Amino acid sequence: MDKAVTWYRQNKARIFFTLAVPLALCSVQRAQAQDFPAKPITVIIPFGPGGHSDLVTRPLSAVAQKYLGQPLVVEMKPGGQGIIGTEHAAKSAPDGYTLLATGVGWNAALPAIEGRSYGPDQLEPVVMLSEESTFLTVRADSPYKTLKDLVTYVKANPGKVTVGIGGPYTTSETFWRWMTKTQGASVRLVKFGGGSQMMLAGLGGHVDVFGGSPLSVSEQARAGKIKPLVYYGEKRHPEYPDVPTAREEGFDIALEIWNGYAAPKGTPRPVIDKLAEAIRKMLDDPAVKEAYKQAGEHVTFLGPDEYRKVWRETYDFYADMKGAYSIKGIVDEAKPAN
Amino acid sequence: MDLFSNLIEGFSVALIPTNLLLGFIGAVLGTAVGVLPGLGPSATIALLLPLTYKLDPVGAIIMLAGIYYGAMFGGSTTSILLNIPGENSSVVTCIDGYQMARKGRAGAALGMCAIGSFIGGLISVLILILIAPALSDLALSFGPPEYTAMLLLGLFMVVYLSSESVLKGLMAMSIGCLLGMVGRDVTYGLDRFTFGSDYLLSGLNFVPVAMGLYGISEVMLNMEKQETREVFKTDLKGLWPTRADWKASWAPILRGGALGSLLGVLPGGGTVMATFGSYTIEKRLSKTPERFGNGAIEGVAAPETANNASATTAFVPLLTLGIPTHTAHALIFMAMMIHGIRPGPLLMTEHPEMFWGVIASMVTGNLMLLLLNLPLVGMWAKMLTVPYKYLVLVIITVCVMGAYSVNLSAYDITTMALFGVVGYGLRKFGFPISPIVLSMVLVPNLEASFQQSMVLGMGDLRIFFSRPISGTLMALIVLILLFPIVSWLWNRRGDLKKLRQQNNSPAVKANNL
Repeated sequence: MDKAVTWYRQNKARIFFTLAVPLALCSVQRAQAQDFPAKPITVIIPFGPGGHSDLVTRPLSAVAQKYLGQPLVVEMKPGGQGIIGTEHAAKSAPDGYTLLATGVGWNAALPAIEGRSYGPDQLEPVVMLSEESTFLTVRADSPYKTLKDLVTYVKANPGKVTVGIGGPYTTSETFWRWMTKTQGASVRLVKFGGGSQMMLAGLGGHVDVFGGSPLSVSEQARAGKIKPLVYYGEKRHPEYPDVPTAREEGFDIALEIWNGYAAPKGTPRPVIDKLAEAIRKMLDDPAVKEAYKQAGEHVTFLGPDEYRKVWRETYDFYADMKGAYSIKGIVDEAKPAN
Repeated sequence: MDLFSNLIEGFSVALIPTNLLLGFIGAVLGTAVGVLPGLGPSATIALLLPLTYKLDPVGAIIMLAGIYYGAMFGGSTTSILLNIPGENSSVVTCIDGYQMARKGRAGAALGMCAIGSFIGGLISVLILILIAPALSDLALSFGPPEYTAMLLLGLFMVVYLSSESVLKGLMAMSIGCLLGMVGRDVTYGLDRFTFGSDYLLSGLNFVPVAMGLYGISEVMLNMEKQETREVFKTDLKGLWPTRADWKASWAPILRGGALGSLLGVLPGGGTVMATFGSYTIEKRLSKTPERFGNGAIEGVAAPETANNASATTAFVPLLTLGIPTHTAHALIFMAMMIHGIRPGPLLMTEHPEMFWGVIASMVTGNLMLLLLNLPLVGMWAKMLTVPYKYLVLVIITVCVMGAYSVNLSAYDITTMALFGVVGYGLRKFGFPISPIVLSMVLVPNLEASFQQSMVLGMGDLRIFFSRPISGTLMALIVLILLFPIVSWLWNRRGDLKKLRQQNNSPAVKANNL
């Protein structure tokens, strides 16, 4: 008995800590969701300034203090087509203080096709902010008036038409890969390092077909330099009610490029919900609305669960398309669907 | 006089005191970030973008444009003083600028840079005003085959930059080509020399490689010298360009300005090509080409003028077509949209105050840059009187900060250190550094345009010869390549004749052949 008391006295501190630390940790975790956020939240954009993620995040970070009680700090981590920044975010502490600006290229296409970067299984979706697609365009003096015209010509003359592509796994590349895979319509894909170079080559007449985001197409179309033939999205673009979607033209494909935020795997659900709710409110802020309007940005808000579903669908689509991206020669071998 | 009224309208906007002030702020900030390698104009514009929300649209763009060309103005300072090029467009300035600084003529080099940049800015604005539509046509007429031919020509000119042996120049160029191919190729999506690393996927970054090859290796070379390195004795009397400098420089400045204005409109290598293109031209035209590489003032004046001239005309695709061709321009594009102006082909007619205002502000901005930079020349030149053991710390700090600040990535510092060692080795064996760095910058564009041309031409090389612009450039390359062979053959013929006269024995003749 005496021994036990001595033992207790000698080890009081140790016993106290062994009991107290787990207890304290439990309460910390509970408090985390309630007091979250207690410090600034970092949004990692895996690209340099001036990109689409930058465009949608900027207005939010300007008003974040009002809705989160903490600022939203943007950190640019460019490199490796978005992989570097994604990895940095995915390996951060799952406490909600680090978010990743997500996108189709680096969070669906790259993981699905190449097994690189991080996909829906390795990150926790927080919100989807926007969803947009791109246009297929031709010069105003082009003989093609509709997508059907173009495809008829392409099928009759395989490998004759040149199509400018603004980067790997972009909507226009995916669209033409899909056309080759399912319709046997093969074109020559001329790949450029960016959308601007592609647009310059298109305007200069160096490629027959090119494309661009609603933003990059709008002024060129208004000046009568180019004609948008089709919108790759699910629905027509509100600013271009006359341009049909690919589905309407008889091609069963819709490609959306979404942007959103994700948290590292294992971030507590209450924290994610709190973030999602705060961002939803931010999107209703008049300052944010005005900024998005100026930039031609259309908000499509989805909460964590809906966003997970969309993300998964996109990922599966690219996983299906995997084989279609490998090219052996200058012209893709046309393999019509059986 | 449409042009005249446009100009008056432009200046009436640019000379509004607030716009003058905004242009000044932009120019000051631009010079500051230009002097510090690494943090380039894009990052600065991105940081300042939120501040412009409250400004009026033209003022905002005037300020942001000022940052862009201000950075080009300031970019040469570290090249001349420390042999560290902050941007790829100031690589060429290192060659003669640093040599001038070593000879105690840093002030003259910096002063000539400032004046040359100012004149280059004026020439390009003048050209922009007169033939902006023609310049945008030039940008459009360059397709993949034209870029291929232009960049190939550039690659051959790079070899001429080295003052030492042509063979070493060629080898340095080849090393640069290999470095430029690191990463994913645009057309086939194949990863080259990445060793499975994601960091190398988008290729090597210019800044860490240049910081290493120039800055770090320079420090290493100087450290191994036991004796105290000669302090750059800067004669304060010799701070300004002399009459002889002027006489040597005025024609190169004019030529550099014209070449820079033309090539500046071509994204993907235009600006870099302008700098070493004008350097090569001056070296070829010079009666004393051996001075180049040993501190020739023309070798500083021409490329710096070309650089600043191209910084102005680089705005052409953005202002006349609405297509941003540089990250900094993409951000200015964004700033215009935030203010409710969508840049496009109609900008010139629908928002003339924006178009002409920004162009006119480039005149006032360049003047302010000159007034700002000339007094700084003395200060910069005095910096070199700091003992080298202290200066070393500054150089290494600048390099580490520069390498890190590009992508906020510690990998880049490792890359820089590695290239420091590589550069030290290469320089020990007498390899010139500038061909490595320049071909590394040119090759990604060259490779992409070559692949694009091959797709367009169905794999037929004739595509390069069947189009007027690329055909002309290709003919020029053939001439440049043939010239040494022909002249060698010509000399050899003379030698053979002499030999034949010396001995008529067939055996000796056969041996000589």
